[in-house]
Amino acid sequence: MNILLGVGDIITPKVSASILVLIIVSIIPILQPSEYVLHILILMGIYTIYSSSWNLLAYTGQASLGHSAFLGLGGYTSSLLVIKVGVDPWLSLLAGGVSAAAAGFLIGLTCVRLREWFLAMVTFGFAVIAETAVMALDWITQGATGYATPSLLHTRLQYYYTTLALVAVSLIIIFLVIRSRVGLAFSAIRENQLEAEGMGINTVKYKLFAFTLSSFFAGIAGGFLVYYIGYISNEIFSFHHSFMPLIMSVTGGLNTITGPIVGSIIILSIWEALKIINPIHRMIAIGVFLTLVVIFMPKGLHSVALRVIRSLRV
Amino acid sequence: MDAVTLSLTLLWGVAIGCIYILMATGLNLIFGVMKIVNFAHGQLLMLGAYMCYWAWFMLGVNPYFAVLISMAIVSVIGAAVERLCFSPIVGTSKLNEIFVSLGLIYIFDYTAVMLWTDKPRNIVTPFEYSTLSLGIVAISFDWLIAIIVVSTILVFMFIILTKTKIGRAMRATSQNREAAMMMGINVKKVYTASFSLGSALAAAAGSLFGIVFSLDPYMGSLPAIKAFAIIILGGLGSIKGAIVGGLLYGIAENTATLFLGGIWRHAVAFAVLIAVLIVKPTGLFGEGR
Repeated sequence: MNILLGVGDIITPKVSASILVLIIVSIIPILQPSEYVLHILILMGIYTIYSSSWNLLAYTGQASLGHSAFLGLGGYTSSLLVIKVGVDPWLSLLAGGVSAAAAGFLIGLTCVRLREWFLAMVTFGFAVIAETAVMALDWITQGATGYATPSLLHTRLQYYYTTLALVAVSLIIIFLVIRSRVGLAFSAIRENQLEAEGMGINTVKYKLFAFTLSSFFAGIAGGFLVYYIGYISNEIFSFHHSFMPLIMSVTGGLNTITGPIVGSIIILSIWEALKIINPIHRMIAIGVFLTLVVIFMPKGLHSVALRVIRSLRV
Repeated sequence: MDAVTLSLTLLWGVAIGCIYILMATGLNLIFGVMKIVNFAHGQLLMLGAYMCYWAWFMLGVNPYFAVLISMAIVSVIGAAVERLCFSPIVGTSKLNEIFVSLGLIYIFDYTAVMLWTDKPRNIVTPFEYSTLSLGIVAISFDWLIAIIVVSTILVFMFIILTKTKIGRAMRATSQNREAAMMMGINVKKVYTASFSLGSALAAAAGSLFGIVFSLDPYMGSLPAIKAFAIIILGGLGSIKGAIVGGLLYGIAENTATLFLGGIWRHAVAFAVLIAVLIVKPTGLFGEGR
């Protein structure tokens, strides 16, 4: 809470840099970018929320391999509430987040005792089970065919600013959590769970909290993504969607706020840039990129950027 | 539910379970020695299947002999992958392993699509239509041979691990890396050897998968992720766990398909995993880590 104490404390270099970035990003539409550029920027924003939610969980040392379960759950809950029950779309977005959080809480309950690979495999399994459930309930969800969702907003520009607001709010909440005593407990658990327990930290409680909060944001991202794309099917649970936040967070830098932002910008840019070549070659190129990043930069591209900044200061 | 369907389901479960066991044993070996998980293990299975197909189709050798050729080629590919991609990241963060494996999955899958298109192919054995009658049920000859081949390979694995010098070096490294180094074991070589042996097992699994079912560039992902789930289910590093887990998985999957329908196939397998881990967080035969 100490960051709320005084104005002087608030205007740190980091905060002023973020405000600067926010201003730059808000005036981008004045330059009248094409619809396509806006589309990519919106996707980057949504993926920033999604991979930040993954990164928040990883901050406690719990790496999920099935985060698409929450993305999909958020997407299905919010769009089905609107279509079948007639709930207000904005309220349904929140409901999607809450339902994902509830699922995250339940999954977290089974996961808190598990470590590393055991946890990774169980989360992966939950994504498979969630997909199967959606396929089995095809009289509601229309299974692999999917259905079109109602739209939340009318123009792409509206979507752009809403995404921006959502990203800002989510990142501020995550920042405040990580900066608070809760965040300290998170990193203590990540570094050494036994020692954290020894210090009197209730690890089960904090891990569950991280799980719930993380799945909440993933659910919000899922709901918004589905409204933006205008369509949902079981594809949302695919491996691709589970590994995306991991790829983005690791590329950008684990356990940092900026990591997922940098990562989603880099990965989506590469993805789009590679669209000019044949799709098969594109997949091979992305594979080569992933492999090379880890072999030559085991701490992520973020570390390279930091090194460059540091060398500029000296 | 009549006895015939039930025993057929069990037999199918055992047959597919055998392929999982081969995959799981290979992953387990690599994990035991190097303490890394290769998520791209399924891509080695896919390569193995294509090598077997190639040896059978181009050279015209018997498919079961082609299994050996495929194992030899893929063990070399595995050694190269270990040297280039995994050796630099041994001992760093676990996420790096997942990351490199993901990269390899993309590279291998789409290179295969580029080279061989994504058309499914079949390996035809001389016993394609012969079956062996076992009382009330008949089992296809190919499946029977697959089960025998898997058992033989597992016995050979056991002999390599207990009787040969390199096998003992692998076990020593898996127990205590530093102590093994002090005893004059070249740990890097042991890493390459275990990865290569693990890849050969994946190639055998792939070849048998290709013979019993069919092959395409994406065939590897699910068996690999299931093999990983199996070694988690059985307990990391436990060979006994891999065998019990593999059979359990094969049977659970086929029973689910029989009673609940095809879409539940994969979900039930993971439900079994989660149920086991809730009761015993270190897996069936795992020790606390």
